[in-house]
Parts: sequence; structure tokens; C-alpha cells
Amino acid sequence: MFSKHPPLFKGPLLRFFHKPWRLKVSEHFTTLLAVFFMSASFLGSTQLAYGAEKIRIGVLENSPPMSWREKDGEFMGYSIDMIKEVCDARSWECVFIPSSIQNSIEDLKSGRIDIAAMSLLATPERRKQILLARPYYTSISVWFARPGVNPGDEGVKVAVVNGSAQARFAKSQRWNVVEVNGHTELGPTVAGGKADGMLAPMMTVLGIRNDPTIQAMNLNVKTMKEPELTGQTSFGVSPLRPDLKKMLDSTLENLERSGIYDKINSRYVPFRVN
Amino acid sequence: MFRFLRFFQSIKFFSILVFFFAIVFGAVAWLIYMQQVQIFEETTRMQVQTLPAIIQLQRKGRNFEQIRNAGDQFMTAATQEKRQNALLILTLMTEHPSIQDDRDNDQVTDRAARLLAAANLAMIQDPSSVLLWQQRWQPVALQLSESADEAMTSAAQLMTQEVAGLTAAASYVRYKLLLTMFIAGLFILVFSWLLQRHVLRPLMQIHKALDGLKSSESPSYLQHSSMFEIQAIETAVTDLYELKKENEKVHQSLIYQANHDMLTGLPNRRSFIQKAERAVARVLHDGRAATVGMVDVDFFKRINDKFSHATGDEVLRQFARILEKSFRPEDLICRYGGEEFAFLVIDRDPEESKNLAERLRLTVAGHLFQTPDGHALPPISVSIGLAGITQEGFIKAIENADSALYVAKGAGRNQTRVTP
Repeated sequence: MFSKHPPLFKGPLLRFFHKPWRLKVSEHFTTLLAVFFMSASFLGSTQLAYGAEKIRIGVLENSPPMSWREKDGEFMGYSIDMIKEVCDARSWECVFIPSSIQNSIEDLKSGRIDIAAMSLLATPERRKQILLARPYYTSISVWFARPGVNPGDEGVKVAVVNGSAQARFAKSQRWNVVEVNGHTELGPTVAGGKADGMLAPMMTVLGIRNDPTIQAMNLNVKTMKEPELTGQTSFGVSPLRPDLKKMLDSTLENLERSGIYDKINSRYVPFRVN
Repeated sequence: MFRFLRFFQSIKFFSILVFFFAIVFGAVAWLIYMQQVQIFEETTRMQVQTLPAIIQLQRKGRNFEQIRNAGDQFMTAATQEKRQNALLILTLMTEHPSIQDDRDNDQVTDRAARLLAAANLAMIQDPSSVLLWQQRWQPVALQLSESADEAMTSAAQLMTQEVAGLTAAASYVRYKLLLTMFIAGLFILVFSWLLQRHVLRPLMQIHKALDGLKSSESPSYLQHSSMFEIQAIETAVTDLYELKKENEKVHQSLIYQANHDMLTGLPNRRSFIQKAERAVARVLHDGRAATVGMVDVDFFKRINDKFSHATGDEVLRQFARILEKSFRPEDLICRYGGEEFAFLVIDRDPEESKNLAERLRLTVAGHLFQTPDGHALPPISVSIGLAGITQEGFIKAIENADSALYVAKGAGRNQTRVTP
């Protein structure tokens, strides 16, 4: 072709294209290109298939309606449904690891868990040690006891969950505190006479209100107005994974806008808590 | 129109036009951009503020309904435990910050909470008072429903207002976009018109003029363009036309000079031979006759010597006029050199041509030649030699005619001889 027509290229380019083996390469260029893209697609799909990030979620086993574990081992509850939606939206492979309010901070700090899917009030200690995600509901604390029994009265024993904001507050008030390890132990503790009342999150009281033993005691509920006991609660995020907080925040925001928040709310609580 | 453009170069004018358009278009585009930014801000604000506010209102409305439901459940509860449970839920709801933070509505919720707390105590003491408390509850329940409706309606109105604002902003963008398109279209029209009117049309005329120059057509129809550069081209075309005309004249003059004798105005020897050879070739091809003649002014040297060279020249000029009148247009004549002249008579053999030559000789003999200043000269005669065209060609024929002339001159001049 170069001998029949005036040369399109001069100098080095002409010499380059005159070499027959160059033409052979160009003839197979389309095939090479196709192989390249097929390889890239294969690698990309492999990355997608195996790229789901594994996130360790710390959850409570005994805090209905926020989080509890069924007999078959499945976790249920307001916080569980919320974090499951986040995992689905983020395509995370979430592994639930039982934890407790008391141990959650250390678990997050040590990296044993990446996210604590439990409602944590933003206490100064928590702010210092862990990251707190976008709040997902507003909690109030209540005093749940027989009429006329008030915390701080002489001889009144106050049941609280170890490590909770309520325990911290009760201790700061120098009340006579009876600490239990989980929210499900609060009812039996009061019903068994080990405590005269409980200082608990609103959600815990809603969870045990249908217990016949508790109903029989005819307990009164009194909301606590102190700022240490009221406010927005959040999931905890490990300080080792600050990237998770941003992803968690934006996903929670999207869930709220999409109405999923309120659907989950209706499953567990008779009124809107946010 | 646009006469002021005569002072501008078209590239400058169009550059200014494009620059002006760019400014206008850029300004409108900037306005659209700002409107887009506003829409973006509006949508962002809707997402960040309005949507959460709407959700909040919807939640509040639902909570009011739930408080009413809790109250209704309290009033219709069959047992004290159930009443206690309903009261617990109602207390938690009315104390929840989502209700408490709203100053406008906490009165009705507080009223509901107080009423149910009082009813609870009263019913424990007197269960039969339930009807009385149910009657008292109805207006509170109604107020709670109205508050719920108000919250829900406010949410809908908030969304409606925001959407209306967004729609208005989008409409502005649409109008501005249309305005931009209109400006762009207007600019293209104006630009095209100016380009056509002041550049393309003059260029087409110039092209036509340049084409016309091939046939020496005058470019007088060129209109004076407004554009400086076009004017320059038009002037150049006109100058080119004038130059071409001048060249034509010079060319024609040179051709004339190359083929004519400047003294007599007759064709010169070179021209005569060229034309005669072609004519002879045709004659021979057609088998027709033709005769070549050589004419010499007798004693011409004496005229020069006696009366001056100017008189001699004048004699030659006057003889040339006689020669011209003596032959047909299709015949060829020339000044062959000095006082010698030649002619080629087509379709005449030597004998027939001899009569023509004789008439010429006699005309010359009878002609009154004059000096340049009008004085009469003595009679002048000519000698003529004729030769017929043969297959040997024109050159041979003219040699033969020259020989005949030599014979005529040798025989005493003022006579015509034909080569046998």
C-alpha cells in the first residue's frame, strides 16, 4: 500500500509502519482489546463478589424492644432492624457479636467490634473514647416505681443497668444503687424486692410494661428531666474506624428520608420516638 | 446602514460583535447558572431542612393520634392494669421531647395527661365515675385529633410551598433558557445577515468580477462594500481590470507593430508571408488560382534625394492608400521592404491579375503625389512583376514575381510583366 500511494508518514513513523510485523500486531489489536476488557470485567466482578466488607456489630441480647436475642439465636429489635437496613444499604457483611452497655466502649476501642448497635446517650465519657453516629432516636429516662416512692429518698434502692447513663447519673446523685447486667433483669429485680424502682430508658419501660408481674405492682412512671438522662441516642463507632462514621451517618440519614425509620419505629414502639 | 463600518476592518467588527455576544450570552448563562445554583440550594435545603421538618410534623401528628388512642384505651379499659398501661404510654408520649419541644401543642397534651392522671386516681376510688370522665375526655380527644390534623396539614402545606418555590425557580430557568436561545438565534441571524451582506455577497461579486476579467468584462457593477478589506479587494479588482485593459492595448499595439509597417500602416513582410503561405496552402488544396505581385516605385531614390526623405515617406504613404483601394478585402497586400510592395490576389490567375496590376499602375501614374507640405510632385510610376501560384509554393512564386519585376524595371519601368 505504501508503494502505491504517497506516504502518509515520514521519517520514523514511515519506518515503523513499513515493518510487516507492526501490521500484524495492528490486525490483532481488536482481539487484544477485547481480551483486555474481558479480563478487566472478570477482575471487576471478582472484586464485587469478594469485596463485601465484613463489619462486626456489637449488639445487646437482653434489651427489648431495642435489641434482644430469640431462642433460635436470631437478634431482633429496633436497633437490630436499623443496623440491618444500614448493612443492606451499604452491602456490608455484618456479623453480630453479643456485647453489653458496660463493655461496649472497650469493645469499640479495642476493635473487637466496629459498631455498637445500641442506643448510647452522648455522655462526656463516651464522647471522649468513641465516635457517635448520627442520632437515631430521642430517649428519655423514667423512674418506674410504686406511687410515692422516689429515688434519693432514704432507703430507696434504685435498679440500674451497669455501665448505663442512668447508672452513672444515679451514682452521681449518691442514690442507693442496685446494678444489674441487662435491661431484662430490671423487672425481676424490682418485682423480687431487691430494688424499690428502676431508673431506666423509656424504651426499657415500654418493653416490660406488659409483664403481668410488673402490671400487678401498679407502678407509676415519672419522667426524669435531667439533661444527663434525656437526649438523642446514637450507635457507637470504633475510633479505629472513623471512615465508618461517615458512611453510617449518610446511610441513617437516607433511611430516615425514605421512611424506613418510621416503619421500624412502628414495629416496636407505639409512638414516634424521634 | 452600517456606514460607520467603512472605518472598521471586518475582522475587528466581527470580533467586536462576537465579543459583545459572548458578554451577553455569558451574562445570561451566568444568570442561568445562578438560577441552577439556587435550585440546587433549594433542593438541598429541602433535603436538609424541609424534608426532616415534614417528617417531624408527620411524626407529631401520628403521636397526637396515638395519645388520643391511648386516652381512648384508658377510658374503655376493662381493668385497672390496662388503664395503668394506657396511662404509662400516654405519660411517656406526652413527656417525650418531640411533644414537649413544641410550645403550641404541649398545652393539649398536658391537659390530656393531667385529665387521665386525675381520672386514674378517681376511677381507683370510684370505678363508676368512668362515664363522667369519658364525657370530660371527649373534647380533649377532639382537640388532639385537630392537632394531629393540623400537624399533617402543615406537613402537606410545607411540601406544597417548597414544591411551588422550586417550580417557580425552574420556570425562571426555563424562561432564561428560552431567552438565551433567542439571543443566540438572534445573534446567529444578525451575524449571518452581516456576513452575507457585507462579506459573502461582495465576495461573490468579486468572484464574478474576476471571472468577468477573462472576457474583459467591466467590473463596474461592483458595489462599494462597507468592509475595509472588501473595499481593498474591490479596488484591487478594479485596478486589475484597468491594468488588464492597458495590457490589452499594449498587446494589441505590439501585435500591430509586429505585423505592420509603421510608415504606411500596411502589413509588413513577415505578416504578409505568414498569411500568404496559409492562403496559398488553402488555394492549392482547393485547386484554385492565385497570383503574387511585386510592386516597386520607380526612381524612388531620386525622390528622396531631390525632395527629402520626408517626401519619400509621404509618397510611400500615399501609394499605400492607393494600394489598399486597388484590392479586395480578401486579397493580401504589404510593404515588402523599402519602396517595394507585394500583394496576393486570390482566385485570379496571372493574366486576370495583370489587368488589376495595370489598373494599379495607371492609377499611380495618374495620381498627383504631394510633399508633406502640400506641394505637387512630378508624376510617379511603378513597375509590377506578377507570378502565378504553382505547386512549388508561395516562396517560389514570390521569387518568380520578383524576377518579373526585375524584367519590368529592366525594360524601362512603368510597366507590368508576368513570369511565364
